[in-house]
Amino acid sequence: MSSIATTRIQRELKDIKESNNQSIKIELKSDEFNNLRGEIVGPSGTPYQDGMYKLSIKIPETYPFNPPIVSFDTRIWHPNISSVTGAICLDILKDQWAAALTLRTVLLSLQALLSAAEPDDPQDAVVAKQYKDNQKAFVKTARFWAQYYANAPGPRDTDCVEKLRKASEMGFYKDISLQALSTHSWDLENAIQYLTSC
Amino acid sequence: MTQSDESSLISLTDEPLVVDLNARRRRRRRIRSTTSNGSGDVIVIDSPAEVSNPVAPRRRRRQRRSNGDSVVDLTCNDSVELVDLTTPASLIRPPLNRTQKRTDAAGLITTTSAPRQDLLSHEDTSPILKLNCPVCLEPLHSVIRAGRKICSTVCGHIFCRSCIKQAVRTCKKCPTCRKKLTEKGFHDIFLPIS
Repeated sequence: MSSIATTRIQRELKDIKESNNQSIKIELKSDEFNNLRGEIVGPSGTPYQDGMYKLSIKIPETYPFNPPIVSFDTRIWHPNISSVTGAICLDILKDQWAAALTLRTVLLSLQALLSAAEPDDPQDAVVAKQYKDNQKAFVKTARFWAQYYANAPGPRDTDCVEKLRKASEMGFYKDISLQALSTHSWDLENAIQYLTSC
Repeated sequence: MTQSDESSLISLTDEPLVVDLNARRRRRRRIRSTTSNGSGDVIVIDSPAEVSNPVAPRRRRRQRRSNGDSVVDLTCNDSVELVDLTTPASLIRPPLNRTQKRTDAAGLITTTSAPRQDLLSHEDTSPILKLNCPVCLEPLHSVIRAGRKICSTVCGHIFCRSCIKQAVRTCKKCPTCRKKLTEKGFHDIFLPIS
């Protein structure tokens, strides 16, 4: 790893520690500076509120002249984040990256992305379609995912809990059942039909 | 009575400066009407003798205005009296009570000079700004101390030279604002750090 990337990551980690922002966290995964773990708190006023989202951050050799490679480790239901792989669609992580941006500003931008989705520039087409066509089902699903995967507090939607139990009782994995139910906006029959067909 | 003792200065910040005397109200009115359509010159009427002569001060005013070199010694506080005409109150206030006027003038001076002193003392005590190169995040003062150069881009953003050089080579744009940059798009700057 180039010396400029290493020294910069060291300075960034120090700055984040000093900034004392409780809602974002970055730490080294190992002794190497090219592999980091990030964590952001879901912003309030969104379905992701108080969820803890883990991120994997890979620093390229050419950092900071090229963006870090960031993806969600914690599963999330969001139009601009793949519900399967956690890949993120965010301009500053691609062509709009600037060397003056830092990991801190990237994590803050991700928090902003959770607050303001861009359904017209989606990463996950299924989620984006639901976001546009059935906002109520989207909020319900995103909230349930936040509680299920990101440990967001609060009582879980009984309809979701019940349908997920029914699907998993039929012998399907919970994660796959949840994915199918979410994709079909919690229509149990359609979700089961989909699960049996594949 | 000396001339300087008698003269009083009325100043308009953006408009013509009028120098008034303890003249009669009639004269004052004439002075104001004359100066309202005049330029931003300073007019000085010095002595009561001139005031008593209705012709002399007018001629003198014209002369001074055409010369444009009228001088009022403001270093001696006792010789002139400053009245701010930007506030309408001082325009309409009858100049009968000279002591009151003087107090006002003194008050005006203290109020305008006070914030300036505050600002100066604040500048003296405030800590030096922490400036970092946005690319390597190294403090600029340590970059300078290490004998390395600081650069500014044409778009006005500041970096250490090695960083901006590499940024231009790899990205061809400003690391801060993403403006397109070439090798000619930045230059050394020399900060006057003591």
